Amino acid sequence: MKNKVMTVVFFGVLAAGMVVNLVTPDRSISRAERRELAQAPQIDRELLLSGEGGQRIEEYLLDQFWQRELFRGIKVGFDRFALQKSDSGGLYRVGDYLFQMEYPLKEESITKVADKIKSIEQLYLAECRSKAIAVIPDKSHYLPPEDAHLSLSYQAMEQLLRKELPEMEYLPLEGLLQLSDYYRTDLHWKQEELPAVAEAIWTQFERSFDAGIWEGLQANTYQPFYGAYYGQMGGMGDGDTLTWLTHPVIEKMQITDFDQMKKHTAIYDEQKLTSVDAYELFLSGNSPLIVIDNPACADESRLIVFRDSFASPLAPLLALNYSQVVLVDLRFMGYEVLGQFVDFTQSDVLFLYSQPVYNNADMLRKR
Amino acid sequence: MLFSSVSFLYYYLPILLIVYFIVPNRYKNAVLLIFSLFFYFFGESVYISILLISTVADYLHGLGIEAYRGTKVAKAILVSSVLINLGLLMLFKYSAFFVQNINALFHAQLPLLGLTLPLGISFYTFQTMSYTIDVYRGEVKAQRNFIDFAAYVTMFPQLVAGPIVRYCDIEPQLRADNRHNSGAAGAGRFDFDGFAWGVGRFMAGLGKKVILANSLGELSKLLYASAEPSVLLYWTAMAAFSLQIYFDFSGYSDMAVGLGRMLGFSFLENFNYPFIADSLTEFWRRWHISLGGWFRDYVYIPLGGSRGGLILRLRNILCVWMLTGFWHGACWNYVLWGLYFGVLLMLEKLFVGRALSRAPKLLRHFYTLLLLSFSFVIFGTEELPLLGMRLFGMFGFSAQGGALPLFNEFTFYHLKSSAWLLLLCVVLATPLPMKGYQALQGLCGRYRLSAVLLSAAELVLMLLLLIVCTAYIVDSSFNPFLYFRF
Repeated sequence: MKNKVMTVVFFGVLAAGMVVNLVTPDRSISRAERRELAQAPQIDRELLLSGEGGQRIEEYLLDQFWQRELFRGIKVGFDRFALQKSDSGGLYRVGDYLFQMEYPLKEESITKVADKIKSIEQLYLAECRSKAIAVIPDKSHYLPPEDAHLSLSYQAMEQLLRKELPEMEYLPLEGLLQLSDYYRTDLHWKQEELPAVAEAIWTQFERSFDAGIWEGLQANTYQPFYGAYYGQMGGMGDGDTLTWLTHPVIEKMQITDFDQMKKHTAIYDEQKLTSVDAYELFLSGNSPLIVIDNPACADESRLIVFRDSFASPLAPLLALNYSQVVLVDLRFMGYEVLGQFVDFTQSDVLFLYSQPVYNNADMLRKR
Repeated sequence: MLFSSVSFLYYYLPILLIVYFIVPNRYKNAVLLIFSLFFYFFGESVYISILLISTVADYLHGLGIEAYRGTKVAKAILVSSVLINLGLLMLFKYSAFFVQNINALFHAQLPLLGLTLPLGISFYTFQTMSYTIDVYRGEVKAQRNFIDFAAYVTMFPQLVAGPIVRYCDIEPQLRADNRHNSGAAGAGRFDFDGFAWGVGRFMAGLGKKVILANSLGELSKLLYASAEPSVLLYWTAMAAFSLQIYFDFSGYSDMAVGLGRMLGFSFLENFNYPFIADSLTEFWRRWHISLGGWFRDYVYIPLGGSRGGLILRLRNILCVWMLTGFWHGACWNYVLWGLYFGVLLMLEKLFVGRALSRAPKLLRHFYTLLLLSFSFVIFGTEELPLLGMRLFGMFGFSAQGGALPLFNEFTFYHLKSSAWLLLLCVVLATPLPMKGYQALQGLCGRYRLSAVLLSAAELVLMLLLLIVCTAYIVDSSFNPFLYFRF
């Protein structure tokens, strides 16, 4: 009897799995995984003889598997509870927060980034007004030591950068932030928690500002926002709430995106909220070179930020106290051509990168 | 196609089972052949012609040997068969290796052919060679039915990664009436016991591969890639890799045996808890049994085996082990690996074996595991400079000179994080869980209620295992079996 039941159940589950997968409509994107899903390949002679037909079909079946996210969650749960693994593919959970392990501290990489900054200094910064460097702490920095897994030492990174770039003013950000200033399911910080950071940067560059500068800010929200870590961790738990701050001055700012060679006024691209990465709401996502002009600013002042994606929500706030903010992303453009597009004279220059970028110099373009 | 894939589990297998059990016995081999060819084509659409050439060639050679039995023509046909099979292997698997080495040695400029390795070629060429040799020796009759023969060669459960099923072992089962699912359980009756046994075996293999071997693979890869090595890191990586190879390959063999049984075939076992061996000789009686048996019967014994003088015997051992190593891959580390075992097995036969038999069991076991440790490092490292670094690293020597730390934060974290996985794998590599299960069966069998509960628990466990394996598969990217490349 047992064997009859075993036979029927085994076959029944496989056959039912086949039927369910066949009748379930295909999806185009997975919001939890923040990526497009593989679609059914066109099965023709070329595909069959390419030697890749089987792999392409398998990729499609895997991506379109019924309740894919639930199964991925089961895998993460099994790793965590049954195998007692401390992380799942380098990601781990403490309470509601997800973290990525970044380890070890690569001194060679930090030196490479510092060398690049020195080259930029020599090429362009002789006539700038002021220059500074800052490191955005990874959110794991704010975990109690007993909860943190393998992580980068913020202090060691700071010391190394100070040593490599003695001429550069160092802007400490560590004390301005706390864990709750970051999204639970993403690596980034929250825009609504950044006024203190913007004020610290203005202070660093001796830009006076009125305490009432933040008056008129309005918070807008979108949820669920599934951060980059959410999908990688099997999509279990709730998403975050994505908040963006609007202001009458911000609404009048003008953006020039050199990647798309167009001017527009959409600091916040709300169409991106329903894309695979809702964080692209800020400045429409990554771009090699973006200029934000603030016609409401009384003086001629320019801030140039060498940045990664963390700067996207910060830039509109910084622009409240500058007539122009230039965002340079060296991950997508070489610094050698910058002089053609950016005037550094009498500008404030900030090198603002998160810890993982300093630790992985290869992310920055070589030329 | 992989057993541990969505396409196999949720499409191929249910459709195959429906068709296979619906058709009358006389069509079962044809169904098996068609499905097996599709299985192969799905993963290897380009080189399916090589499989077909090998199949047709050995079918005709078998008939030729049978027709000219006892004459020199039969011998010539056998030689032709062996040359064709070895020629295919040489061309697709070893030509690049030889060209590269000749170019390096003689500063020549011989062009590389740029051929990729056809899936499973090492396995099916050995199977078909064993067939023609056995026909020549008169141990089996040539198969006249091409469908039956082709179904044997291409049989999907063992086609791409073994075990190497010899024709003589499976010949009676090639008649569908003789199989479990049609004959043994009574004519026309479905053998639920055999099928359920096959399901259990298949699921055990799937779990070994998908949950354990893949997790161990991630761990060893991560450790070996670390920029912060330590002595403990090299030992942990070695242990993870050794267990990965075992669970990967024995998992595949379990799935092959299980699938075979579902279809009514009985394949011979390929693994028998090799890590509990207390000598290297015993290890090889428990590890990849079908390959060891093949080399014994078709190379070692024809070379003279243990007959003749000591020198001849040692030559035969060394020859067999060098070939065994080379069979695993066209790289020097595999040759080195084969020679490593050849030399150690000779030493064990000549000197160590006697002393070893008198040593305490724990010491024997330690000796075996220690020597196996180094063998797995050799096996898993194709670049020779890297091999030196890993082996020296196990003894604390750094590649840059100087000493490595005993352990560091990175090693400690991963060892702690994977402690349960490693512990689970160590326990599952021994017969303890099976003995425990059998004891439980014996205990529960005394009372009807406990027997029913145990059966229900087995069923639930099987279902949970299927769900977890599916979860791992869905989460994974394309993840081929390690032995596919051999």
